[in-house]
Amino acid sequence: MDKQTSLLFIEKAIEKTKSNQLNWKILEDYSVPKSVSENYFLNPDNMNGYTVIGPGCFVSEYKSGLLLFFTFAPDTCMNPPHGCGFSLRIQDDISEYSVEIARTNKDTDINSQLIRLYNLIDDKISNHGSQILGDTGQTAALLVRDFLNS
Amino acid sequence: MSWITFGRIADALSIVSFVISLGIFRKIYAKAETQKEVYRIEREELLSQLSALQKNIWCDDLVSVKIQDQLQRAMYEYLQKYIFISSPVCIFHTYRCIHLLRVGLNESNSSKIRQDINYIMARLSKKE
Repeated sequence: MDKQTSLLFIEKAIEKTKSNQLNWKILEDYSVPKSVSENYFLNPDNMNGYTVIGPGCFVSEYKSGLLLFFTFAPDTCMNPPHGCGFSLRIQDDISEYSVEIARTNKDTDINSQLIRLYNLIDDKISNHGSQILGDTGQTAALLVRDFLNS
Repeated sequence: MSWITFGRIADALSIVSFVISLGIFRKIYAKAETQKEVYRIEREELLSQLSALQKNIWCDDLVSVKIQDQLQRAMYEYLQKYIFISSPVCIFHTYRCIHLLRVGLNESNSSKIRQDINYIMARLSKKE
């Protein structure tokens, strides 16, 4: 995909994420359809030995397909987005393989937009988690506080 | 002690301090060359990071503690890695940004932090 199209796609993903049209979830917690589960990891050769960071990978349903956002790092202990590579992919319900829209490379514009999207998604998911915590009953909230202070 | 002896001691000490300063300049030069090499390899990554954070804060209204920490960290990273090849103005902007971020991003310091980020991004756009 050419650079302008990739940038436009990422820009659209950012706008839709901000307006909550895309509902992102952590990939590890998502029940990916069997047809997709074997095919969404990138060929390791494409990312120079980087490994996928599970909690940093996200998925969002879009119409009949899935939007996938992968985070790669040379070390699983890395703190994304610092030092990490990213890949934005789209998977439909017919094709065997997902299509890569953009990934971290030498282009500063694409890299900065991917990092921007990662921060947005991470913030949305963190806020959603805080809301769930806020909605729990009084007993559960006390338990959580107690656990955190232990 | 005669003045002649005093003069000779002063001469000897000045030669010694000249040799020491040559050694110090040599070390600083070697450090600067190392930093230039690191700069050539890593400047684009830091530039992408700062650009993304700038858009997150001022276009996406993302001002969480995590984002501010990332920004402060990026500034510290710039300082640690490139202090020997930075101009005094660059160093000033970096220090000011770090100092303002210590109290957190707010309405009163937002424009100054933005200026600092813009300056550092402009500096990082320059290839060594």
